[in-house]
Amino acid sequence: MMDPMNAGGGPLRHLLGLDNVPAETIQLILDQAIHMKDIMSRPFKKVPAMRGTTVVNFFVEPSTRTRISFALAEKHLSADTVSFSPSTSSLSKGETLLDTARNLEAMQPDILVIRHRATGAPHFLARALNCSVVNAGDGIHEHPTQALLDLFTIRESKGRLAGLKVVIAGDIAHSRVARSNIFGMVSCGIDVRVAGPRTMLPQGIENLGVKVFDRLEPAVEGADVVMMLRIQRERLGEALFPSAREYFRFFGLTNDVLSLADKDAIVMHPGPINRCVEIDHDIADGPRSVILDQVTNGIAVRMAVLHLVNQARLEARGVGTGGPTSVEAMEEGT
Amino acid sequence: MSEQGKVLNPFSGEVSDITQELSAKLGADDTEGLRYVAPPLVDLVAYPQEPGNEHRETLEELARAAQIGGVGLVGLMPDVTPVADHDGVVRTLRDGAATAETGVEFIPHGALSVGLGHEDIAPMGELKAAGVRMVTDGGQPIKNTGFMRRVLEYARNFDLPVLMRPMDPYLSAGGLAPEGPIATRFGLPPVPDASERLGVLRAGEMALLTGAEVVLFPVVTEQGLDALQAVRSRGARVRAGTALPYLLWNVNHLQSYDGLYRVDPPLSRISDVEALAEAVRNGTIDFVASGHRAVNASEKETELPIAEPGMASMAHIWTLLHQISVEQNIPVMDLVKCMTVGPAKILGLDSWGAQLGVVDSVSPQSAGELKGMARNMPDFGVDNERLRVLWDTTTSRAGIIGATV
Repeated sequence: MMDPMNAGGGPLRHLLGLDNVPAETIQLILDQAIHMKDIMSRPFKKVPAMRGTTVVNFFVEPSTRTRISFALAEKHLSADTVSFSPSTSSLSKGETLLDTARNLEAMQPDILVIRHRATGAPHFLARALNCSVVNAGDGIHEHPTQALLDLFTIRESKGRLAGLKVVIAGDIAHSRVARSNIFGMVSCGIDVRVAGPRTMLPQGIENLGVKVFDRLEPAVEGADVVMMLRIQRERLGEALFPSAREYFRFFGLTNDVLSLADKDAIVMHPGPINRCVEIDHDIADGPRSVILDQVTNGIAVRMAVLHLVNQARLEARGVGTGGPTSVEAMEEGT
Repeated sequence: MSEQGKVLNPFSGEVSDITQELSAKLGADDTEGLRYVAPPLVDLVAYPQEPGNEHRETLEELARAAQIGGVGLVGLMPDVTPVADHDGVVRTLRDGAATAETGVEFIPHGALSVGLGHEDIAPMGELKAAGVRMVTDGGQPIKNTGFMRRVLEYARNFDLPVLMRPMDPYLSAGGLAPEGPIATRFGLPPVPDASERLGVLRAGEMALLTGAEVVLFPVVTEQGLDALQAVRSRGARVRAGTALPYLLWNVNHLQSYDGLYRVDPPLSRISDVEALAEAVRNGTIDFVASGHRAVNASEKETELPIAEPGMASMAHIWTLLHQISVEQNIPVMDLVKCMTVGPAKILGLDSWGAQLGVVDSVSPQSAGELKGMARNMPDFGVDNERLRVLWDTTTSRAGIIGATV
């Protein structure tokens, strides 16, 4: 069930998700992100790699961190950008998504970065439009750049990916971060465990190649990475958990629980965090937390994705180069 | 195309070769490859859009689509605006076919509750007097089982079968795919099998309690079929049908997130499609309907969760029957029985369309004539333009139909 519009080992025409994306493609993006992070560490953090390229950031669902992260990534690469966040999504009355997108496309952007609350919205647009589409989160489906930045952070900290034990804990059923991470991590040979109350574990998740736990403690045992997902308080009305207090007591990450993990285990969270709901203060701010590194790495990874998607786009138009991946080559622009 | 075409008589069960003489009478030369000759079909469940949503499809357009599809009698669901819960709207629906001058007949199903609100029982006696032969929830399941009981009791008074949607509305809420690994992988809100199973069991128990005749539509899962056997073995009068899309497409088609594949309930797993095919072969399924529902292109070309459910399958029925027969290995005769004898019996019109008469003059209809009509149908590997249905224009009810597929 290969998605022909996705990476699939070929040029990265779109980035719609990590389902079926081979490990080599993920490694390629992560390697590219190392160069990008290097650029970010300089006093003047800008290269002309995407000069003359137009990127539209189309965020139909509220987002702070992902939106800013993409915006900075685009600026570091010298792309021309516009951001568009309609106050009401097309899920309410008004212009349809297709009409909005066609209008955006009429302005001839090269890449459309989309965040949408409907599963499959980026796939729909990739089919309907000519520009490249990068998924910045669709419904409860995928959030591929978040998973890539998580993988980058893990590799940076642990020096490898294959063979690591990673726990993803929280509302697995409604988490696009969890899905993309599961696809990417399994592809890269990581031993993935998911944990949460049974109301938050989707049927058939084990078919994606993960081990399933309905308690946190046994999942965390011996883990190299513990990734806590944000608990959405607004889901209280859906009878998924009784109260924040009970959730923290049985599924929150405390020092006691973390002591079961490997002594060098790192703690991750895609943010924004709910202190003392899914994660204890001490841990969020403690030495094992890489939560803020994730945010920094997010910009580098998004620079890498945008650059590779742009290269694929140029190659498709016959403007392609062999593909500059070094910082020096990027300095010269394309 | 060397295969010999067949005359299918679902009432007698006879299958015979299409003779040169018949072929000539139908005006089909050899190159047209006349594949099937059969009586006009009975489509028990279609969703009309007039009155209320004429921009999607008028009754006249629906009648023309039925003619192209080879359907002679179309059962109309009552959830139009206003709802067909009284005799006036029933007459409007019934007479809506007349202007098309197609010979196609409409038979409206009455709403079982006022406004389909499922709080007050509709005037079933009056509805029956206006020509209704079945009442229904209109595809919107009754939540209150106590109300369901009263509806069934009252319908029995007038010998009206009650067509209901087998599902648990709470378990199915918001669902876009059957629960399991595929829904989880695609990130689609799931519908557990238990929903349809509970729907069948609940309706079956109420049929036993009240003695009413219940018709369940659509049954789309293996679990639903299993529950159906269970309630029948207890003696409940329960008939069941499925809709054409569930015999051809499955949940894997949702990987495209294309709104054309949004139907309600969602497309089932491959194992369910296989179980449904077997149920058609062995007679567990009494009827197959189109479930035809025309919507506008803009209502489909949108995010999957807000795409309007339904397929405008009416005009493509013969092509679909042919393709389903090939792909699911179901004898065409079994499918044709489910679209003639089976539904006619439920309506108490046992011999509707039964005479395979003599052909005197023929009017050809082609799916190529669909210009301007509802097109919300996915491609299914058959060139719809090639479908031609030939009508015997000498009889309005019992015309022979030849389909070239």
